[in-house]
Amino acid sequence: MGDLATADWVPTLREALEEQIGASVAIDGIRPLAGGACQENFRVDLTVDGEPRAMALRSDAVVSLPGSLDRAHEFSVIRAAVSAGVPTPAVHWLFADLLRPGASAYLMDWADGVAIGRRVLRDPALSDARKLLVDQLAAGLAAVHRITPKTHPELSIGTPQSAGERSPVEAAMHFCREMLGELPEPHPAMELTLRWLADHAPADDEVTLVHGDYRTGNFMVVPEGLAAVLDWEFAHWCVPACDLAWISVRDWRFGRLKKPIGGFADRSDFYRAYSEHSGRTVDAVEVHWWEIMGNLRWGAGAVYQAERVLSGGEFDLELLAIGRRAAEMEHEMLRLIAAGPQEID
Amino acid sequence: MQDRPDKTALLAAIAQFLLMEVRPAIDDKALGFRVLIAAHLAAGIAREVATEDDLDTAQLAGLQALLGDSPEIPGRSDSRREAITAANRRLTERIRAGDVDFDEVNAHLREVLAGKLAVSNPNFDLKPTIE
Repeated sequence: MGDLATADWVPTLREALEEQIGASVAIDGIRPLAGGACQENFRVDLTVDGEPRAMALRSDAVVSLPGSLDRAHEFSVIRAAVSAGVPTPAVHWLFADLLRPGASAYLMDWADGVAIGRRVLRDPALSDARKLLVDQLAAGLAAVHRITPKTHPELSIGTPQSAGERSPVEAAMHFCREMLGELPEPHPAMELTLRWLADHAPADDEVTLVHGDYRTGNFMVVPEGLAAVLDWEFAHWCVPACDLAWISVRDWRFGRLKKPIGGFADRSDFYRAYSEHSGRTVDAVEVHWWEIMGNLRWGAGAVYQAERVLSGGEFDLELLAIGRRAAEMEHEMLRLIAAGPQEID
Repeated sequence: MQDRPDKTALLAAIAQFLLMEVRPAIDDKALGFRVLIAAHLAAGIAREVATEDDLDTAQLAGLQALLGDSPEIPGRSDSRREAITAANRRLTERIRAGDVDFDEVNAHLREVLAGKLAVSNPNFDLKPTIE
Protein backbone atom coordinates (compact mmCIF):
# COMPACT_ATOMS: atom_id res chain seq x y z
CA MET A 1 0.00 0.00 0.00
CA GLY A 2 2.99 2.30 0.31
CA ASP A 3 4.05 5.01 2.75
CA LEU A 4 0.97 7.06 2.14
CA ALA A 5 -1.21 4.55 3.95
CA THR A 6 -0.27 6.32 7.14
CA ALA A 7 -0.96 9.85 5.84
CA ASP A 8 -3.42 11.42 8.23
CA TRP A 9 -5.91 12.22 5.45
CA VAL A 10 -6.36 8.59 4.38
CA PRO A 11 -8.84 7.64 7.15
CA THR A 12 -10.63 10.94 6.52
CA LEU A 13 -10.95 10.05 2.83
CA ARG A 14 -12.37 6.63 3.67
CA GLU A 15 -14.93 8.04 6.11
CA ALA A 16 -15.94 10.81 3.70
CA LEU A 17 -16.38 8.27 0.90
CA GLU A 18 -18.52 5.97 3.03
CA GLU A 19 -20.67 8.91 4.01
CA GLN A 20 -21.12 10.10 0.40
CA ILE A 21 -21.63 6.63 -1.12
CA GLY A 22 -23.51 5.00 1.73
CA ALA A 23 -21.60 1.74 1.36
CA SER A 24 -18.49 0.17 2.84
CA VAL A 25 -15.22 1.44 1.33
CA ALA A 26 -11.74 -0.04 1.68
CA ILE A 27 -8.67 1.85 0.46
CA ASP A 28 -6.37 -0.80 -1.00
CA GLY A 29 -3.56 1.43 -2.26
CA ILE A 30 -2.50 5.03 -2.68
CA ARG A 31 0.57 6.25 -4.52
CA PRO A 32 1.60 9.75 -5.58
CA LEU A 33 1.71 10.62 -9.30
CA ALA A 34 3.72 13.30 -11.03
CA GLY A 35 1.71 16.41 -10.25
CA GLY A 36 0.95 19.49 -12.25
CA ALA A 37 2.01 22.94 -11.17
CA CYS A 38 -1.13 23.58 -9.17
CA GLN A 39 -2.43 20.21 -8.03
CA GLU A 40 -1.31 17.04 -6.32
CA ASN A 41 -2.33 13.76 -7.96
CA PHE A 42 -2.57 10.25 -6.55
CA ARG A 43 -3.55 6.85 -7.86
CA VAL A 44 -6.15 5.43 -5.47
CA ASP A 45 -7.34 1.82 -5.50
CA LEU A 46 -10.65 1.33 -3.72
CA THR A 47 -13.03 -1.49 -2.98
CA VAL A 48 -16.54 -0.06 -2.92
CA ASP A 49 -19.21 -2.47 -1.71
CA GLY A 50 -17.01 -5.41 -2.73
CA GLU A 51 -16.17 -3.99 -6.20
CA PRO A 52 -12.58 -2.86 -7.00
CA ARG A 53 -12.32 0.63 -8.52
CA ALA A 54 -9.17 2.32 -9.86
CA MET A 55 -9.33 6.08 -9.49
CA ALA A 56 -7.23 9.24 -9.51
CA LEU A 57 -7.36 11.73 -6.64
CA ARG A 58 -6.69 15.37 -7.55
CA SER A 59 -6.13 17.87 -4.76
CA ASP A 60 -5.35 21.58 -4.69
CA ALA A 61 -1.63 22.14 -4.11
CA VAL A 62 -0.24 24.80 -1.80
CA VAL A 63 0.36 27.16 -4.72
CA SER A 64 -1.61 27.76 -7.89
CA LEU A 65 -0.85 29.33 -11.25
CA PRO A 66 -2.46 32.61 -12.31
CA GLY A 67 -5.70 32.05 -14.19
CA SER A 68 -6.11 28.45 -13.01
CA LEU A 69 -9.22 26.91 -11.45
CA ASP A 70 -9.27 25.29 -8.04
CA ARG A 71 -10.43 21.66 -7.82
CA ALA A 72 -14.00 22.59 -6.80
CA HIS A 73 -14.51 24.64 -9.99
CA GLU A 74 -12.61 22.09 -12.08
CA PHE A 75 -15.01 19.43 -10.75
CA SER A 76 -18.04 21.37 -12.01
CA VAL A 77 -16.42 22.00 -15.41
CA ILE A 78 -15.59 18.31 -15.89
CA ARG A 79 -19.15 17.32 -14.96
CA ALA A 80 -20.43 19.65 -17.68
CA ALA A 81 -17.84 18.33 -20.17
CA VAL A 82 -18.76 14.69 -19.52
CA SER A 83 -22.44 15.42 -20.05
CA ALA A 84 -21.61 17.34 -23.27
CA GLY A 85 -19.90 14.21 -24.62
CA VAL A 86 -16.24 15.19 -24.23
CA PRO A 87 -14.16 12.02 -23.76
CA THR A 88 -12.81 12.80 -20.32
CA PRO A 89 -12.81 10.65 -17.15
CA ALA A 90 -15.93 11.12 -15.03
CA VAL A 91 -15.48 12.83 -11.65
CA HIS A 92 -17.32 11.54 -8.62
CA TRP A 93 -16.87 12.93 -5.15
CA LEU A 94 -15.73 16.38 -4.11
CA PHE A 95 -14.19 16.86 -0.68
CA ALA A 96 -13.35 20.12 1.12
CA ASP A 97 -10.21 20.40 3.31
CA LEU A 98 -9.02 16.83 2.59
CA LEU A 99 -5.21 17.08 2.34
CA ARG A 100 -5.05 20.35 4.25
CA PRO A 101 -7.46 23.12 5.29
CA GLY A 102 -8.68 25.07 2.26
CA ALA A 103 -7.64 22.42 -0.29
CA SER A 104 -10.46 20.78 -2.26
CA ALA A 105 -9.99 17.35 -3.80
CA TYR A 106 -12.03 14.94 -5.89
CA LEU A 107 -11.85 11.42 -7.28
CA MET A 108 -12.07 10.65 -10.97
CA ASP A 109 -12.10 7.44 -12.99
CA TRP A 110 -8.64 6.13 -13.85
CA ALA A 111 -7.62 6.40 -17.53
CA ASP A 112 -4.81 4.32 -19.00
CA GLY A 113 -2.70 5.41 -21.93
CA VAL A 114 0.21 7.61 -23.00
CA ALA A 115 0.13 11.37 -22.39
CA ILE A 116 3.83 12.36 -22.63
CA GLY A 117 4.03 14.57 -25.72
CA ARG A 118 7.17 13.14 -27.31
CA ARG A 119 5.89 9.57 -26.90
CA VAL A 120 2.44 10.41 -28.29
CA LEU A 121 4.17 11.77 -31.42
CA ARG A 122 6.84 9.07 -31.83
CA ASP A 123 5.70 5.76 -30.29
CA PRO A 124 5.37 3.26 -33.21
CA ALA A 125 2.51 1.54 -31.34
CA LEU A 126 0.52 4.78 -31.67
CA SER A 127 0.96 5.35 -35.42
CA ASP A 128 -2.68 4.43 -36.19
CA ALA A 129 -3.83 6.39 -33.17
CA ARG A 130 -2.17 9.54 -34.52
CA LYS A 131 -4.30 9.33 -37.68
CA LEU A 132 -7.49 8.88 -35.64
CA LEU A 133 -6.65 11.74 -33.28
CA VAL A 134 -7.45 14.45 -35.85
CA ASP A 135 -11.15 13.62 -35.99
CA GLN A 136 -11.44 12.52 -32.36
CA LEU A 137 -9.83 15.69 -31.01
CA ALA A 138 -11.90 17.88 -33.35
CA ALA A 139 -15.08 16.15 -32.12
CA GLY A 140 -13.98 16.53 -28.50
CA LEU A 141 -13.26 20.22 -28.94
CA ALA A 142 -16.59 20.79 -30.71
CA ALA A 143 -18.27 19.19 -27.67
CA VAL A 144 -16.38 21.49 -25.27
CA HIS A 145 -17.51 24.49 -27.29
CA ARG A 146 -21.18 23.43 -27.09
CA ILE A 147 -21.05 24.48 -23.43
CA THR A 148 -21.87 28.18 -23.18
CA PRO A 149 -22.78 30.63 -20.40
CA LYS A 150 -26.39 30.26 -21.63
CA THR A 151 -26.50 26.45 -21.52
CA HIS A 152 -24.59 26.29 -18.22
CA PRO A 153 -25.26 29.47 -16.19
CA GLU A 154 -24.40 27.53 -13.02
CA LEU A 155 -20.68 27.28 -13.96
CA SER A 156 -19.06 30.02 -11.87
CA ILE A 157 -15.84 30.36 -13.82
CA GLY A 158 -14.31 33.52 -15.16
CA THR A 159 -12.76 34.86 -18.24
CA PRO A 160 -9.01 34.90 -17.49
CA GLN A 161 -8.23 36.47 -14.12
CA SER A 162 -11.94 37.12 -13.48
CA ALA A 163 -11.82 40.04 -15.82
CA GLY A 164 -15.34 41.23 -15.15
CA GLU A 165 -17.26 42.56 -18.12
CA ARG A 166 -14.34 42.51 -20.56
CA SER A 167 -14.68 40.65 -23.87
CA PRO A 168 -12.55 37.48 -24.18
CA VAL A 169 -10.06 39.32 -26.40
CA GLU A 170 -9.75 42.23 -23.96
CA ALA A 171 -9.61 39.85 -20.99
CA ALA A 172 -6.77 37.82 -22.53
CA MET A 173 -4.77 40.99 -23.22
CA HIS A 174 -5.52 42.31 -19.73
CA PHE A 175 -4.36 39.02 -18.21
CA CYS A 176 -1.02 39.18 -20.07
CA ARG A 177 -0.55 42.87 -19.28
CA GLU A 178 -1.05 42.20 -15.56
CA MET A 179 1.32 39.23 -15.66
CA LEU A 180 4.05 41.25 -17.47
CA GLY A 181 3.60 44.05 -14.95
CA GLU A 182 4.42 41.67 -12.11
CA LEU A 183 7.69 40.37 -13.62
CA PRO A 184 10.86 41.88 -12.16
CA GLU A 185 12.60 42.36 -15.53
CA PRO A 186 11.29 44.20 -18.59
CA HIS A 187 10.39 41.98 -21.57
CA PRO A 188 10.26 44.24 -24.64
CA ALA A 189 9.48 41.38 -27.07
CA MET A 190 6.37 40.51 -25.05
CA GLU A 191 5.41 44.18 -24.81
CA LEU A 192 5.80 44.63 -28.57
CA THR A 193 3.65 41.55 -29.13
CA LEU A 194 0.98 42.87 -26.78
CA ARG A 195 1.07 46.14 -28.71
CA TRP A 196 0.56 44.25 -31.99
CA LEU A 197 -2.27 42.19 -30.47
CA ALA A 198 -4.02 45.35 -29.30
CA ASP A 199 -3.68 46.92 -32.75
CA HIS A 200 -5.03 43.78 -34.50
CA ALA A 201 -7.68 42.58 -32.05
CA PRO A 202 -10.31 40.40 -33.75
CA ALA A 203 -14.01 41.21 -33.53
CA ASP A 204 -16.04 39.60 -30.74
CA ASP A 205 -17.08 36.02 -31.37
CA GLU A 206 -19.50 33.68 -29.62
CA VAL A 207 -18.43 33.03 -26.02
CA THR A 208 -18.13 29.33 -25.15
CA LEU A 209 -16.32 27.20 -22.63
CA VAL A 210 -12.71 26.64 -23.67
CA HIS A 211 -10.53 23.91 -22.23
CA GLY A 212 -7.62 26.37 -22.06
CA ASP A 213 -4.84 23.76 -22.33
CA TYR A 214 -6.07 21.54 -25.19
CA ARG A 215 -2.75 20.30 -26.59
CA THR A 216 -0.48 17.32 -27.08
CA GLY A 217 0.70 16.28 -23.61
CA ASN A 218 -2.76 16.69 -22.10
CA PHE A 219 -4.44 13.91 -24.11
CA MET A 220 -4.31 10.31 -22.96
CA VAL A 221 -3.71 8.22 -26.09
CA VAL A 222 -4.05 4.44 -26.64
CA PRO A 223 -3.54 2.43 -29.87
CA GLU A 224 -7.24 2.98 -30.69
CA GLY A 225 -6.77 6.74 -30.50
CA LEU A 226 -7.95 9.31 -27.96
CA ALA A 227 -8.67 7.79 -24.55
CA ALA A 228 -9.17 10.91 -22.48
CA VAL A 229 -8.85 14.69 -22.45
CA LEU A 230 -7.08 15.71 -19.22
CA ASP A 231 -6.08 18.81 -17.24
CA TRP A 232 -9.02 21.18 -17.09
CA GLU A 233 -7.49 23.71 -14.68
CA PHE A 234 -7.28 26.47 -17.30
CA ALA A 235 -10.90 26.14 -18.50
CA HIS A 236 -12.68 29.48 -18.82
CA TRP A 237 -15.25 31.36 -20.88
CA CYS A 238 -13.57 32.54 -24.07
CA VAL A 239 -13.96 32.09 -27.84
CA PRO A 240 -13.40 28.79 -29.72
CA ALA A 241 -10.40 30.20 -31.64
CA CYS A 242 -8.48 30.33 -28.33
CA ASP A 243 -8.48 26.49 -28.13
CA LEU A 244 -8.11 26.02 -31.91
CA ALA A 245 -4.89 28.07 -31.85
CA TRP A 246 -3.35 26.74 -28.61
CA ILE A 247 -2.88 23.22 -30.03
CA SER A 248 -0.60 24.76 -32.71
CA VAL A 249 1.67 26.73 -30.37
CA ARG A 250 5.18 25.73 -31.44
CA ASP A 251 6.25 24.24 -28.13
CA TRP A 252 3.31 21.80 -28.21
CA ARG A 253 4.57 20.35 -31.49
CA PHE A 254 7.41 18.72 -29.53
CA GLY A 255 9.90 19.09 -32.37
CA ARG A 256 7.51 18.00 -35.17
CA LEU A 257 7.31 21.56 -36.45
CA LYS A 258 5.88 20.73 -39.86
CA LYS A 259 2.72 19.29 -38.32
CA PRO A 260 1.07 22.44 -36.99
CA ILE A 261 -1.74 20.63 -35.16
CA GLY A 262 0.00 19.34 -32.05
CA GLY A 263 2.92 17.88 -34.02
CA PHE A 264 0.75 15.20 -35.67
CA ALA A 265 -1.63 16.80 -38.23
CA ASP A 266 -2.11 19.52 -40.83
CA ARG A 267 -4.24 22.54 -40.11
CA SER A 268 -6.69 22.01 -42.97
CA ASP A 269 -7.62 18.45 -41.87
CA PHE A 270 -8.19 19.48 -38.26
CA TYR A 271 -10.15 22.64 -39.07
CA ARG A 272 -12.32 20.75 -41.58
CA ALA A 273 -13.12 18.07 -38.99
CA TYR A 274 -13.83 20.72 -36.35
CA SER A 275 -16.16 22.55 -38.74
CA GLU A 276 -18.05 19.34 -39.47
CA HIS A 277 -18.50 18.55 -35.79
CA SER A 278 -19.23 22.09 -34.60
CA GLY A 279 -20.99 23.73 -37.53
CA ARG A 280 -18.61 26.68 -37.13
CA THR A 281 -16.20 28.01 -39.72
CA VAL A 282 -12.57 28.51 -38.71
CA ASP A 283 -11.21 32.01 -39.33
CA ALA A 284 -7.47 31.89 -40.16
CA VAL A 285 -6.90 35.51 -39.11
CA GLU A 286 -8.57 34.95 -35.74
CA VAL A 287 -6.64 31.70 -35.12
CA HIS A 288 -3.37 33.47 -36.04
CA TRP A 289 -4.12 36.19 -33.45
CA TRP A 290 -4.82 33.59 -30.75
CA GLU A 291 -1.71 31.57 -31.65
CA ILE A 292 0.39 34.69 -31.04
CA MET A 293 -1.57 35.28 -27.83
CA GLY A 294 -0.92 31.65 -26.86
CA ASN A 295 2.83 32.06 -27.30
CA LEU A 296 2.69 35.26 -25.24
CA ARG A 297 0.71 33.53 -22.49
CA TRP A 298 3.16 30.60 -22.39
CA GLY A 299 6.25 32.85 -22.65
CA ALA A 300 5.11 35.05 -19.77
CA GLY A 301 4.09 31.91 -17.87
CA ALA A 302 7.58 30.46 -18.32
CA VAL A 303 9.15 33.55 -16.75
CA TYR A 304 6.56 33.47 -14.00
CA GLN A 305 7.30 29.82 -13.15
CA ALA A 306 11.03 30.50 -12.69
CA GLU A 307 10.23 33.57 -10.60
CA ARG A 308 8.24 31.43 -8.21
CA VAL A 309 11.47 29.63 -7.29
CA LEU A 310 13.66 32.75 -7.42
CA SER A 311 11.34 34.67 -5.11
CA GLY A 312 11.69 32.07 -2.38
CA GLY A 313 9.37 29.27 -3.47
CA GLU A 314 10.22 25.61 -3.16
CA PHE A 315 13.44 24.64 -4.99
CA ASP A 316 12.63 23.15 -8.41
CA LEU A 317 15.34 22.87 -11.07
CA GLU A 318 12.82 22.24 -13.86
CA LEU A 319 10.88 25.45 -13.08
CA LEU A 320 14.14 27.45 -13.01
CA ALA A 321 15.16 26.01 -16.38
CA ILE A 322 11.76 26.90 -17.87
CA GLY A 323 12.53 30.58 -17.24
CA ARG A 324 15.32 30.45 -19.79
CA ARG A 325 12.92 29.02 -22.37
CA ALA A 326 10.88 32.24 -22.59
CA ALA A 327 13.14 33.46 -25.42
CA GLU A 328 11.86 30.58 -27.59
CA MET A 329 8.26 31.74 -27.26
CA GLU A 330 9.32 35.39 -27.73
CA HIS A 331 11.06 34.52 -30.97
CA GLU A 332 8.02 32.57 -32.14
CA MET A 333 5.63 35.47 -31.39
CA LEU A 334 7.68 37.82 -33.54
CA ARG A 335 8.05 35.18 -36.27
CA LEU A 336 4.27 34.62 -36.38
CA ILE A 337 3.63 38.37 -36.57
CA ALA A 338 6.02 38.64 -39.54
CA ALA A 339 4.65 35.50 -41.24
CA GLY A 340 0.98 36.52 -41.04
CA PRO A 341 -2.04 34.19 -41.03
CA GLN A 342 -1.87 30.84 -42.85
CA GLU A 343 -4.30 30.22 -45.66
CA ILE A 344 -6.69 27.38 -44.96
CA ASP A 345 -7.73 25.22 -47.93
CA MET B 1 42.35 35.15 -12.88
CA GLN B 2 42.27 31.49 -12.00
CA ASP B 3 44.69 28.96 -13.44
CA ARG B 4 43.66 26.48 -16.12
CA PRO B 5 41.22 24.81 -16.55
CA ASP B 6 39.11 27.94 -17.11
CA LYS B 7 35.43 28.24 -16.19
CA THR B 8 34.15 27.47 -19.70
CA ALA B 9 36.07 24.19 -19.82
CA LEU B 10 34.90 23.25 -16.32
CA LEU B 11 31.23 23.97 -17.03
CA ALA B 12 31.42 21.95 -20.25
CA ALA B 13 33.06 19.13 -18.27
CA ILE B 14 30.28 19.19 -15.65
CA ALA B 15 27.70 18.96 -18.44
CA GLN B 16 29.50 16.04 -20.04
CA PHE B 17 29.91 14.25 -16.69
CA LEU B 18 26.18 14.58 -15.91
CA LEU B 19 25.16 13.43 -19.38
CA MET B 20 27.63 10.59 -19.99
CA GLU B 21 28.33 9.20 -16.49
CA VAL B 22 25.53 10.18 -14.09
CA ARG B 23 22.44 9.91 -16.24
CA PRO B 24 23.01 6.34 -17.53
CA ALA B 25 23.47 5.18 -13.92
CA ILE B 26 20.05 6.47 -12.81
CA ASP B 27 17.00 4.18 -12.94
CA ASP B 28 14.50 6.73 -11.65
CA LYS B 29 13.16 8.33 -14.87
CA ALA B 30 12.06 11.57 -13.23
CA LEU B 31 15.46 12.01 -11.58
CA GLY B 32 17.20 11.13 -14.87
CA PHE B 33 15.19 13.88 -16.57
CA ARG B 34 16.30 16.44 -13.98
CA VAL B 35 19.93 15.37 -14.48
CA LEU B 36 19.43 15.97 -18.21
CA ILE B 37 18.08 19.44 -17.42
CA ALA B 38 21.11 20.13 -15.20
CA ALA B 39 23.47 18.99 -17.99
CA HIS B 40 21.73 21.26 -20.52
CA LEU B 41 21.90 24.19 -18.10
CA ALA B 42 25.62 23.68 -17.44
CA ALA B 43 26.34 23.45 -21.18
CA GLY B 44 24.28 26.61 -21.71
CA ILE B 45 26.18 28.53 -19.04
CA ALA B 46 29.46 27.45 -20.68
CA ARG B 47 28.22 28.98 -23.96
CA GLU B 48 27.01 32.07 -22.07
CA VAL B 49 30.38 32.62 -20.39
CA ALA B 50 32.13 32.30 -23.75
CA THR B 51 29.88 34.76 -25.63
CA GLU B 52 28.29 37.19 -23.15
CA ASP B 53 30.83 39.99 -23.54
CA ASP B 54 30.17 40.26 -27.27
CA LEU B 55 26.41 39.63 -27.06
CA ASP B 56 25.79 42.07 -24.19
CA THR B 57 27.86 44.77 -25.90
CA ALA B 58 25.90 44.30 -29.15
CA GLN B 59 22.56 44.30 -27.30
CA LEU B 60 23.37 47.51 -25.42
CA ALA B 61 24.66 49.22 -28.59
CA GLY B 62 21.43 48.24 -30.36
CA LEU B 63 19.29 49.62 -27.53
CA GLN B 64 21.27 52.88 -27.43
CA ALA B 65 20.77 53.31 -31.17
CA LEU B 66 17.02 52.64 -30.85
CA LEU B 67 16.57 55.00 -27.91
CA GLY B 68 18.81 57.74 -29.30
CA ASP B 69 21.25 57.47 -26.37
CA SER B 70 24.94 58.30 -26.66
CA PRO B 71 26.92 55.15 -27.44
CA GLU B 72 28.66 54.34 -24.16
CA ILE B 73 29.49 50.76 -23.23
CA PRO B 74 30.50 50.26 -19.55
CA GLY B 75 33.69 48.25 -19.10
CA ARG B 76 32.41 46.08 -16.26
CA SER B 77 30.06 43.24 -17.23
CA ASP B 78 27.65 43.82 -14.31
CA SER B 79 27.39 47.54 -15.23
CA ARG B 80 26.63 46.51 -18.83
CA ARG B 81 23.82 44.23 -17.65
CA GLU B 82 22.37 47.00 -15.45
CA ALA B 83 22.49 49.36 -18.42
CA ILE B 84 20.70 46.78 -20.62
CA THR B 85 17.93 46.30 -18.07
CA ALA B 86 17.47 50.06 -17.66
CA ALA B 87 17.38 50.55 -21.45
CA ASN B 88 14.92 47.66 -21.87
CA ARG B 89 12.69 49.29 -19.26
CA ARG B 90 12.66 52.56 -21.20
CA LEU B 91 12.06 50.70 -24.46
CA THR B 92 9.14 48.89 -22.82
CA GLU B 93 7.64 52.19 -21.68
CA ARG B 94 7.91 53.58 -25.20
CA ILE B 95 6.29 50.48 -26.68
CA ARG B 96 3.40 50.84 -24.21
CA ALA B 97 3.04 54.49 -25.16
CA GLY B 98 3.01 53.56 -28.86
CA ASP B 99 6.10 55.70 -29.34
CA VAL B 100 8.26 53.30 -31.41
CA ASP B 101 8.78 52.19 -35.00
CA PHE B 102 7.37 48.66 -34.88
CA ASP B 103 9.58 47.17 -37.60
CA GLU B 104 12.76 48.75 -36.24
CA VAL B 105 12.14 47.43 -32.71
CA ASN B 106 11.07 44.05 -34.10
CA ALA B 107 14.35 43.73 -36.04
CA HIS B 108 16.40 44.67 -32.95
CA LEU B 109 14.54 42.20 -30.73
CA ARG B 110 14.82 39.31 -33.16
CA GLU B 111 18.58 39.84 -33.35
CA VAL B 112 18.85 39.91 -29.55
CA LEU B 113 16.69 36.79 -29.29
CA ALA B 114 18.80 34.98 -31.88
CA GLY B 115 21.83 35.65 -29.64
CA LYS B 116 20.02 34.44 -26.52
CA LEU B 117 18.79 31.29 -28.24
CA ALA B 118 22.24 30.42 -29.59
CA VAL B 119 23.21 30.23 -25.91
CA SER B 120 20.11 28.69 -24.29
CA ASN B 121 19.04 26.30 -27.07
CA PRO B 122 21.37 26.03 -30.12
CA ASN B 123 18.98 23.46 -31.65
CA PHE B 124 16.16 26.00 -31.85
CA ASP B 125 15.44 26.58 -35.55
CA LEU B 126 15.38 30.36 -36.08
CA LYS B 127 14.08 30.19 -39.64
CA PRO B 128 11.74 27.21 -39.75
CA THR B 129 9.68 26.59 -42.86
CA ILE B 130 6.51 25.87 -40.95
CA GLU B 131 2.83 26.68 -41.10
